[in-house]
Amino acid sequence: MSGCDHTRELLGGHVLGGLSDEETRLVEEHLEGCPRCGREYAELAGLPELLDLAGSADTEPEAPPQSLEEAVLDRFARERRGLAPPTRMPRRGLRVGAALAAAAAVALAALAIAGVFDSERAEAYGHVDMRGHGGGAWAELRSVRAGTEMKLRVWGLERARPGSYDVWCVAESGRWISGGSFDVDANGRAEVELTSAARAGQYHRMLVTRGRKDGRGVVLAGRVEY
Amino acid sequence: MTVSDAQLIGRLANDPTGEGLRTLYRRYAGELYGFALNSLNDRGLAEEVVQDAFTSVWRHADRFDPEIGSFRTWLYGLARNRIVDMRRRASVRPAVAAGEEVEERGEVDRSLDEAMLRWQIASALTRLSPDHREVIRMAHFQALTMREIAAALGLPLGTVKSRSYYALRHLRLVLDEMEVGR
Repeated sequence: MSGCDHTRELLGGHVLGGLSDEETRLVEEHLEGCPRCGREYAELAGLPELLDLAGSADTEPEAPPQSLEEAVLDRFARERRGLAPPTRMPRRGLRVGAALAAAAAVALAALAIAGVFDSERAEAYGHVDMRGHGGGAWAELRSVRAGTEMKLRVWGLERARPGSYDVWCVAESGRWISGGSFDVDANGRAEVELTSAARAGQYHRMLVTRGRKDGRGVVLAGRVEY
Repeated sequence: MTVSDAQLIGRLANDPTGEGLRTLYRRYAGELYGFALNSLNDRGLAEEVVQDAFTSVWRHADRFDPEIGSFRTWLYGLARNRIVDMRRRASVRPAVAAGEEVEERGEVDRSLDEAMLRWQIASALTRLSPDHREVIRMAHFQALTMREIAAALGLPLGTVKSRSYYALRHLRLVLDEMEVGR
């Protein structure tokens, strides 16, 4: 073994201060006359000082909750949706004066029946019937640029603080993808349109949970029918 | 082939699916959350920091310049600013003279830089193999000699010595990737 090879074998112990006096002397002597090993030593020499900052080698970092990823992507999807050009021809058409609105609606309905707008707004690709806790929900699922738009009708849920219920799309892998939040009225009902980053085929179940941070108490669940 | 951070950011403007953002999130959110949690000691606020930082990423993607610094540096800068805001808002103090205020801001910045460095080192250690982490723990934190470690682990002395070397080399590599200065 050459002097360099031998020194390299001892370099870790030297930097960490774990060599015998004799080994330390040998390493120091070699480093004085070997620029290559000297450079290698210089790269490692500052590590003990940095390790002192950590305080321990066993600090296991706490992972962010899984829902955070979906919350970030959900926010992205929502903003994207807001930036994207409107895809719903009927709504755009109805932004005219009241007198024109009725006529426009009739015309649009006729066109819709004729299938003119099929290319403008995707057909529903699935639905889900969720049940549990004395309540239920029905959602119609439609592809949009940001993922899935869900038209959700809910009944029989207890009213709590605003935004107290969350909708989730659950993938086969077990990953939960946020579908947004809603609240119910005094009669325990809600009719909302939410958007999820989930796409058709990426998930097989949908859930409604109560409380975003205090656990995921599932109140409604159902299988997606594609 | 791995897509670089800069390439992913360049695609954000035309990324209707959010897949690019998801990739960036999975690369960095874990350590960023750890840093925020370490700095604020509040999970809710740490989540907020991560969300806000990534929101800024896509809203201001055009401001990212890989010539100036890496995505990691930029992202940590965004998170750091948010943490400073939160800390300042959280501290309810009586009015102070302008000079004192400046000093306090300096302290906040220093403590945050230190917290970030501390977190990055701890985070880098978790990226080592258990064998490498173990030898560093025993040699550095428990101040054991190579010979004592070899006896404790029942390994040849030469193995412990070379393991120590490779553990440090790997740690240096991880810290370089995290842009922790030498």
